[in-house]
Amino acid sequence: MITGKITLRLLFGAAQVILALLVIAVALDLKFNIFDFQTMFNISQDALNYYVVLLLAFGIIFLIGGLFLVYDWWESR
Amino acid sequence: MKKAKGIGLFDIVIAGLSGAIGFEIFVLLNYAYFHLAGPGILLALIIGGVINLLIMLSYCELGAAMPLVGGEYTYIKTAYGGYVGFIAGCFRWMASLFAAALAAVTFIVQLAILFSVISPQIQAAILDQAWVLSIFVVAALGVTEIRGSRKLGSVVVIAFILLFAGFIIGGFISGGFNAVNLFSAPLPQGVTGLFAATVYIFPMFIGTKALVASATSAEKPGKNIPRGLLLSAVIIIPLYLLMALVAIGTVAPTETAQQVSLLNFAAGQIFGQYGTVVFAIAGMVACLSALGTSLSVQSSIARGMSRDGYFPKILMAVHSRFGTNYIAAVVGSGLIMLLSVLGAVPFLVYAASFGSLIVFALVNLSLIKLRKTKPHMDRPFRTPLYPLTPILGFVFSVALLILPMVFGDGNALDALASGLGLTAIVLCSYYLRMAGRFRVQIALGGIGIGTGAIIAALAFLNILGLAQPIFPFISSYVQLAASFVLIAAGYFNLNADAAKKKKEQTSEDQLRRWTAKLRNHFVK
Repeated sequence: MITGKITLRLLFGAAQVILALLVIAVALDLKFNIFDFQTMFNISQDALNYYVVLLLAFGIIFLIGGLFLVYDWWESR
Repeated sequence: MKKAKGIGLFDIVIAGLSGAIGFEIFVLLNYAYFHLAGPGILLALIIGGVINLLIMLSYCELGAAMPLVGGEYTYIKTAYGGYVGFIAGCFRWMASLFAAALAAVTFIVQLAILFSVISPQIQAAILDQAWVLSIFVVAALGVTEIRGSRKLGSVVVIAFILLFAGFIIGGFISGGFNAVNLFSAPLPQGVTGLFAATVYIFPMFIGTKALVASATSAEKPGKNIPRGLLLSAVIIIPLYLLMALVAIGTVAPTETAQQVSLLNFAAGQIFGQYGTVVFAIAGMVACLSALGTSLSVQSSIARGMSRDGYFPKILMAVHSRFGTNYIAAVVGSGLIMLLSVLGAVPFLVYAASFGSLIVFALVNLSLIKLRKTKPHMDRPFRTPLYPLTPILGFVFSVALLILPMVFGDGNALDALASGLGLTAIVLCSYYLRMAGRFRVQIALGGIGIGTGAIIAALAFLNILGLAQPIFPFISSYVQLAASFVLIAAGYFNLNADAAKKKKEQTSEDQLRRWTAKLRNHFVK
């Protein structure tokens, strides 16, 4: 039972880390217009800053949260 | 046994100059001249040099009184304790990372300039794959750092001084120097452009403080550290001023070659293709030297903060064969690679100076605090005109930090946003250490569940056609799936403490069962 929960922690932790990295990557893509996202989605300059700040802030929070869960699994090995 | 002799004044001055004379002059004059102040950068260089000299006076007093490992981190920690010391250390560390990334990006620019003479096809390929090359350069230097290779140090500094002297003399005696350029459009953007340029070129000077790292091995540090700091801060002003004068006299502000480094372009005008090649190679050497130094500095700061328990202990790990802090070097190199991929020079410049200016402001405040709290401390050098000098040093540091934002420079605003984000991370990591991991984990769990629930609700309403999407560039179904991950992970983070207690309880139960078994065995 405990092993199952620990494995679930690892799974959701890793999923959250991947999600956070994707969120940060999207924020950077938007900011530096690497894949021309700004034109593709017709994002105005004001909305761009709002999206970038929001995505970066949540990306970092999710990344730390996910890493904590992975660390929990690491500790319990 | 013969006592090892410390380094003398000459070596100390060379250490200061090696910190200041670097790749910055190859990259910073460009934007400041063509976009901000025109020939007014000469005035900007004088203002920047004088401000640097003022700040170095505070460094003189503290460096002479505390010739210890850690430089400014030690001064600030002595004055304000661990919390402010930790913040200063973090900013210094981040400034080194940004400076190293800037050096990597500038290296690629110089490489492209070199190949513009040799083979334009290869130049186009270099510019096309700049980010891959910058990763390769950082990786190579990272390996060098791990292997503990020796730096060229004073040889490079003397070579640069000779090269720059040749540039200045060549510029004046060649027919290309046109004094009209100096007065053609003195301040195209007015006083605003002048101050913006002062901030932008300021990193050219801040390297002089690097010599405080030599304080521990200096002969008579009480005398030689202040002399070395002041001499190198004074020498650098006329050197840069003359170089900028020649470059401006040679290249008109309306010149079309704005994408090329001003210095390289001027060298090409004065000495022809040989000038372009020699200055491109010099620029590359300067970048590699700066990148190596920044890697060592970040590694040493990370090690110091790890020793004080602020960073993970693993950063102190020493390589069994090379005796270097290889984990700190690998972590630093990885972060520098990420930053160098951005390739945005003005952003990296502002971000690097952002960290350094905060540390400068704190050093000036530390001097004032220590004068009050430790009046009997042995001070071989006392800052003249106290308290005016450190107050002005503090005010100018903060002004240089804020002015680009006031002028609305987009790059500076981006750097400020990143700086504030990094500050938030720095403060969070400090409280993480102070408040304890589980409390932070529980808080993050709550944030995860709350955010997940809001995203799920809005995505669901959007699917039903009842609300506008908050992130139109991400499908609502993807947002729904992501919110599920956030809620589940949030739940596990929220129960982190309970899980830990349960695990401890299980271990205690197990121990109790074994003890009971053993007791029964012996009783029988």
